[in-house]
Amino acid sequence: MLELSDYKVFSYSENAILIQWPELISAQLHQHIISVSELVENIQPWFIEQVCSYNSLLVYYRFEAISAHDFKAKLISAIEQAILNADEKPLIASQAKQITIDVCYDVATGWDIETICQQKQCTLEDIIDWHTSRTYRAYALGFTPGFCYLASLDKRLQLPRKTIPRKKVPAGAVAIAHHQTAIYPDSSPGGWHIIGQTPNVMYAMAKNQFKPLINVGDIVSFNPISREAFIAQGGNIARER
Amino acid sequence: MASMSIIELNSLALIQDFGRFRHQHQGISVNGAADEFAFLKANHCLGNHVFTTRNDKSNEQNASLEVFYGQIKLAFDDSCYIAITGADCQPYVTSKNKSHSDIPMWQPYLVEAGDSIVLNRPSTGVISYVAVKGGIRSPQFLGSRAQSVVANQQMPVLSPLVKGQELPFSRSSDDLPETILDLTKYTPAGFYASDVLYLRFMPHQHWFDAPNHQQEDWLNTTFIVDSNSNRMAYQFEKELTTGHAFSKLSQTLSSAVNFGTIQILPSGLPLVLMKDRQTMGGYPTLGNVFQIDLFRLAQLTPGQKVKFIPAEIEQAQSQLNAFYQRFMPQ
Repeated sequence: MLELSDYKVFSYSENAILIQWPELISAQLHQHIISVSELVENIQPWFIEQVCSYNSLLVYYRFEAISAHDFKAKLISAIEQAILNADEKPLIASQAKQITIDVCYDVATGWDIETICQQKQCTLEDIIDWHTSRTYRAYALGFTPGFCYLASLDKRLQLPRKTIPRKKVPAGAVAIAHHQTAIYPDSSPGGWHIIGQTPNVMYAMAKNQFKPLINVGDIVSFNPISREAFIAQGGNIARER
Repeated sequence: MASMSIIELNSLALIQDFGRFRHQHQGISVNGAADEFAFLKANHCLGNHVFTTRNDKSNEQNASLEVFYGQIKLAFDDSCYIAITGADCQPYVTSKNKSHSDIPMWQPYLVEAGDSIVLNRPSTGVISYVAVKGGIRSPQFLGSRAQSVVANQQMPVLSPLVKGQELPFSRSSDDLPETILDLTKYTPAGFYASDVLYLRFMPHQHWFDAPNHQQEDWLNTTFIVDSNSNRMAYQFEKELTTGHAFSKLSQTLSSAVNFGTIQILPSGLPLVLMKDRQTMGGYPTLGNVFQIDLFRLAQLTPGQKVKFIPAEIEQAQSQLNAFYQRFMPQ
């Protein structure tokens, strides 16, 4: 049984306080953090913004208008309120979306497929099976715009980050590292292992709006597609140079 | 709209304001002026509003040019007041009749239509700001005009400036405000460090958990700014190869990070996150550097020295408050 009252609240910087729970990946804990964040948002007029992760919530506040001590007290009462509400809350928030990402998994799109097959003594079909046979929870959003940390990966597929990160991972790369999987929304440097590519666009931009496809708390699954379907959906296979 | 054009650029130049807030939960970096002291001084002496009447940071009039290591030439198609602050780049103006004259820094200067200005490579410091009365009016994205050294093809407005670009500003008939607050007590010489920069930090749990001898070792170590340092992060080496780096800290789950967060790399060396940092980090953190000291750090060149020193949150907050209050309307 998860002990929700096991948390620490401390000043992280002048303008932010960190709430930290035990180091674990748990949908129940994460749902609790989301519940806390919904209450924290209402600590007005001092609340500015917050960033949630697996086991933490960093809350930015107007430190010029309230002392760290008093803001901490308000955070603690929000957390305690969320603990009281916990029994009535389902594990997946009502506003959580179910999102399916189409992935073309093969040796051309999955730059690290061959290495993984060697390391894990498995086949491409095993990798596809392990990666697509479960759903993932979006635990955090960060690194680059719209980049979502999804967990937890099948133990048989887990491996540490690459020792030397690539200078360029292509946009749409579907990658894995440790317990996590993710989609690179844009091309960027990256140290995760690439197992495929998606034609799906990970965020939309309009004038003064940014809408990521996946938000924290959403549930994501992966759907294997053929290379033909990938191209038909507008995908461009990025090959390693 | 009036504009200044970039005729020559042999360095890095970006548009900066206070940065992009309230989108970090979407993975959007804050960005913003790296040295807020020089940035605010430039805008303040022009009478640009940098805070709202409620004393909130305002990006309405403050967008300025942030130039790394000078080496830029700008041509103005209209007259305006500008102010150049930060690293001493010995700026000068060339007018239509080809006459040259030096531009005094840290004060308003009237540029005429047809003038071009040049910033030289500064002998000390890194960043110079060019502010214009009313601010640069480039397109905003999510409430900010700030640009980033982290390239993103889908957000070209965030990319650093290139030669040939024209930066619009509004032609302002206003004269400068007659009384600009007397800030003589807050001089550049008084603000920037002379020799070793002391980075005061608010410790995190890993610091408190470290044994005494390790804390002492850390505080006695002089670190040297590494040449990989940039707007994303400042990196360091130890001055002496003796002494211990910070011992291996347990790898943590990725968590949000802030401006000034001290991450400990697997090598035991520190990395201090700056304005173009990513919103999330996986390295263990030792603490968070005072923002005021980060404005100073942003002006250090590779090879310069820093030391870390733990301090209280109350001190950090009251100093940052006092810092901003000097630039607020009275």
